[in-house]
Amino acid sequence: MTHPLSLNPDYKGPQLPQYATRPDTHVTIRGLSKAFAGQPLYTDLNLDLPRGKIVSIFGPNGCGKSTLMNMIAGLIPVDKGDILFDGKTLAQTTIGYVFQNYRDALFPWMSARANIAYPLIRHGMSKADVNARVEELTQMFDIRFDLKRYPYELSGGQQQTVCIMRALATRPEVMFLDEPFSALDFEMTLFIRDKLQEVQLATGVTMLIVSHDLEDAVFLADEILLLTRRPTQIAEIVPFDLPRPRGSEIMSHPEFIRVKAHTLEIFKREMAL
Amino acid sequence: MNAKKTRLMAAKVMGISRWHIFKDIMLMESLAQTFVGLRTGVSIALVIVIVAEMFIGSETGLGHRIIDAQQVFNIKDMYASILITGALGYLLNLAFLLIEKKTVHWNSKA
Repeated sequence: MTHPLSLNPDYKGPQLPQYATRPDTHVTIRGLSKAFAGQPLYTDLNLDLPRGKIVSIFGPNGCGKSTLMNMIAGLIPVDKGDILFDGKTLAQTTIGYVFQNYRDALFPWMSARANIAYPLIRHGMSKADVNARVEELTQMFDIRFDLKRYPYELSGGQQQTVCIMRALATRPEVMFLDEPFSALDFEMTLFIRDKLQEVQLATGVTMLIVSHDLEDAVFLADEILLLTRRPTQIAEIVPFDLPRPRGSEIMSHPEFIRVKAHTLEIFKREMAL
Repeated sequence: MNAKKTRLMAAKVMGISRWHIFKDIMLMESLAQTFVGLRTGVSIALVIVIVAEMFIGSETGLGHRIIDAQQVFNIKDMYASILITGALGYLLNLAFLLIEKKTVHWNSKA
């Protein structure tokens, strides 16, 4: 007669596929699979995202950078697998999301201020608390333009700033940024890069950034998650730990150049495959 | 209902309920199209009213006036009524256009 497995003294519970959890994990992804029209994109992907860090996702075109992020954010259903935030499901977690297309993401019938306040109001916050929170965010971002104006009256960079403020308003645990700079000019990119770092330092929110610009990806990241071509696997996770806040001068720092070159090398290798 | 996908996703990520997504986003986004419909509707409504007054038998109204004047060769009265009808249509359209601009102020810009 065979004993039930759980009575065996060596048995340590159901084992996840040979993948130890990192101690500082915030988001845990296990056995994630996704296929589009029969073509597998992800098969059995395991990934841990560290708490309070900025992780950049970088990879070749069509490898599913945005798809991965949208699956974690619950915007695209997964075929198989679990995604947990500190052991909680998505529904139990507050998240923030900044879209690439800020023009479509903001509600044009509301003023910039009302846009930021909207998620707070809908979560049942009192009027005084909402005002206090918006004021706090205005201070944090050092806003100089009039928040009573409508989104279409603001410049692109200002609109994206409003988007980031709105995403942060509910004090999310995890913040997703989908190519937040790709529609901005260089000046605004620098400004928002600085602000994001500042906010991350102040709040300790876990950030996940998809970028198609290697420079942006490396500059902001604590870790750069490099993906392969389809079917997508993790090519490498490159750490980058220059102290924060990082000014634009670190772009000529030898460590920055080394990490960028290394990342580019892996990227090229993946492209060639 | 043709709300922008990004906008719906933004609301979904915020954890907004389905009812509030409908009320706050889909309904607001549909307003622009609603006003286009209203403006077309007011023009057609005017045409129908005038024609109905002409032929379906009414005692008063601009349509009745036009057809009455025409029957008795009262050219001045007939053309006056026709021109008033035209002006009425134009003004109604203008009024709706102004309301539209006030209500869906973001329409042409966002």
